Amino acid sequence: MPKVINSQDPEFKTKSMLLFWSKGYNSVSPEELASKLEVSVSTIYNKFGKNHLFVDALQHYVSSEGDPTMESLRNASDGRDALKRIFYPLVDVLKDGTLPSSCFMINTVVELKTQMSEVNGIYDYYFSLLDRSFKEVLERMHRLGEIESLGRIPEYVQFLQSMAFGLSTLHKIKSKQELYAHVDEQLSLLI
Amino acid sequence: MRYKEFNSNRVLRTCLKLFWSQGFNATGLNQIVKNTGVNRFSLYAEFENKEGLLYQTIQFYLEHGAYPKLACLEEGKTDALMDYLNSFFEPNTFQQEGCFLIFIGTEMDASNHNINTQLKAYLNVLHAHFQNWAKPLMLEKESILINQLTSFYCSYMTYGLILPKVKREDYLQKCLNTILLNTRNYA
Repeated sequence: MPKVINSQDPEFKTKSMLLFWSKGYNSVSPEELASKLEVSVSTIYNKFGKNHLFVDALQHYVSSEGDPTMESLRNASDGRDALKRIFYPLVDVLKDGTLPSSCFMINTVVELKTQMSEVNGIYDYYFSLLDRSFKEVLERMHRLGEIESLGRIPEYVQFLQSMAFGLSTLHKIKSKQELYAHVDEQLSLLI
Repeated sequence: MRYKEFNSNRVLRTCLKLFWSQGFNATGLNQIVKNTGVNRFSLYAEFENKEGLLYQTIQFYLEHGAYPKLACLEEGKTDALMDYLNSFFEPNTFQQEGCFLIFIGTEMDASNHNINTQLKAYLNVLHAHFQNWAKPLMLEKESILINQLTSFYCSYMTYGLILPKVKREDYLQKCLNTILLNTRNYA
């Protein structure tokens, strides 16, 4: 009996996510996709399509990596330390090489920009999720007396957003200790 | 002496367009041959291999794209700093936005020593220019400001790629405000 392939199967999605995460969109050929996903090349062309598989993979990244991280940030009871618990592990995974590559989302932003319309919707969701979660933690910091001005929160949301993007380049040229110090310095700028 | 029948800069300009629009790994040597009109033997003789072409392309980009922009970084002026950062998003002959070094640094594996060395050297040059820019501000914690500007540069050249102009400039304004104002008040 032929194997029935369901592209919504979590294991299938994880395999496809890991491949696109490590190599990006453009340099993955249909042949390589077929081999990694254990399907025929014609299945890739006729049933799924590379674009569609990529969008599913990125979506899977958001729900398996982004959503839980941001949820833990929103559910925390502390402020600046909760942010450290997000950024320090980010430094760790970037430096330890335990991920297929740097942040899948940032790699996609740089590689595809806004060229693929289906991906733009995922950007919107992901970056507004980050905005919303950062805003919540900053408001908590204000209540805890860690930052003074409520009025500057929209500015700080953007600044926190920029931290992750900065790290995705800086980790290639700085040591772990330098990066921890860098994160500390950045978080201490929120006053 | 063997007569060189092609112009290296013209080859590098074409490579820059190809690498920057579709990435290094997705660009095949056949495509480079087709687009430059130079056969692979001549390319190998001049640049050794595809990696060699990339390293020379980076140098070409620095000389013709990135370094000339530094001229507008007039000391101490916030507007000049903003103009400098925004200049990477203005229409240019390479038909791309952002910074090629950051683009290629993002694509290539973190363990690629040659790319990391080039990236580090470039960010050191930027660091020195930001230091010069910040001198008139006479900050006690100047090093913090310089580190933050370098880090923000990396983020603007990536996140900036997907933001529409108005949002991008708002992002720039807000982040610079945090960096410039808060390093001044840094205790």
